[in-house]
Amino acid sequence: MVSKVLYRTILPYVIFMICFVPVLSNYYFDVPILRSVETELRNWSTLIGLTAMFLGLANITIYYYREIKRRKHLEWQFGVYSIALTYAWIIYGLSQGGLTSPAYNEIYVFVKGHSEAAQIGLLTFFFVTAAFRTFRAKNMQALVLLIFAFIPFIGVAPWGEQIWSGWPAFSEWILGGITMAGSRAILIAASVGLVAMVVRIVLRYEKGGLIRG
Amino acid sequence: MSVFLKGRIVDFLILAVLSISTWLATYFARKGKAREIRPIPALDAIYEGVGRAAEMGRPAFMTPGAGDVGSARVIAGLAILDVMATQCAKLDVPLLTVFGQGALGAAEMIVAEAYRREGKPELYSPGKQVLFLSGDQYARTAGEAGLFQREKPALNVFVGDFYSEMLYIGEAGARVGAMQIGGTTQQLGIPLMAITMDYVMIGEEMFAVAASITRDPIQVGSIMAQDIGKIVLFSISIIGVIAMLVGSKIMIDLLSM
Repeated sequence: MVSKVLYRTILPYVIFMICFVPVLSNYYFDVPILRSVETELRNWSTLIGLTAMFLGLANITIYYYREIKRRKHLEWQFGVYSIALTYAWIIYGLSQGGLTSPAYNEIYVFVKGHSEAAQIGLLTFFFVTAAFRTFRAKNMQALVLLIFAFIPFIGVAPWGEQIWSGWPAFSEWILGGITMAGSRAILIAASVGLVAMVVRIVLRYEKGGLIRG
Repeated sequence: MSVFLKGRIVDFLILAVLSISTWLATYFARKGKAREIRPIPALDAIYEGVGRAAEMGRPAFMTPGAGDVGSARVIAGLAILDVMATQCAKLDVPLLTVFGQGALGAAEMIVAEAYRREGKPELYSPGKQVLFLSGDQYARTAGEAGLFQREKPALNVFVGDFYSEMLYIGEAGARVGAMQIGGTTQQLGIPLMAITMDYVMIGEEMFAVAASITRDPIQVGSIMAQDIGKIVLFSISIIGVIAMLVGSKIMIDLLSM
């Protein structure tokens, strides 16, 4: 019981504080030793990230190897695809000199770029129905939203100025004045909430699942 | 020579005010002087949504978006996941979640712990409930839209880091008739949530999860401190506006110290 509390609650908190204090202090104070401690911690963080990446690679290899071997779920086909593609990229990248190779970079950009374009293309249908949902004035709030959406909408259209010469300026005033004031108020309040949550975590008042350990 | 870096003195003072007021507010709360906080409808709706999922025999879904545990929004999302997983375990509702690679381990731990706490560890399926779809924004979005079509969740909760993809995910969820709850501090995500969600936590509401749900005096006390911080910052804003109107740049000079 004691060891469980020690390993799951006290030890992570001690590690957190050891990392948190120098990094936070370095943000405010001009002290050389804090700067070097922060740099060192960041280097450790990179190393831990790289180690985690290798562990992740080993993990997905083992996981998909088992899935392919069992062929119990349909996902085993995706497993073949994932493992083949992952190792093909690694072997090709290493043989070509990694990121220094223009061919390797271009293949990456073209494959990723086209895949992303295909995904966004699929999602465009959702965009159309979402736009329809947006422009339904179900109640007074939705009507206000609709009106204030249409003013800048017409303001930036080339024919907006033809309807009324003051339209672009009016639209800019709504975006730069009313909208900006509202969004900054939300942003300031959210930032305060964020800082308060961090203070709660540091003082161990926060009771979320992550903190409970 | 100042020990402070340029432009950081006021930042430090604000942090100090917030920290001290949090400590003081919780100190008074311990003495039974905590004030009531207003209920957050979106949080209360989570319980209603899980109940709805149980009645319909459909799963509940939760995601904090793309971020990892380094993001405070994702930490707030994890606190909500804890509440949701506990409620799902109580009512035997299958819970599906999608996390980014940086928060996957924490999410698995929280969901497994919630089922274990409710005495139903056998209901948790490792690798089947806490999912990683992709590190890419739109690949993850497409994966989630597909998941909604296949599993038809009765409740979708999106609390964390969301950008333009919110419109697509929200629409995909609305199409399958799910009750939807959202929360983010991202300015791009809030209006898109307002369009597609039934309940939205705007801004700092998502950081008040534990206080709002547990009503623990210490948690509520820290929300009071948050309000003190807001009053201080909005007072600075108002003084700054007045100073600028009378042609003085004193607040700008002060804030850039």
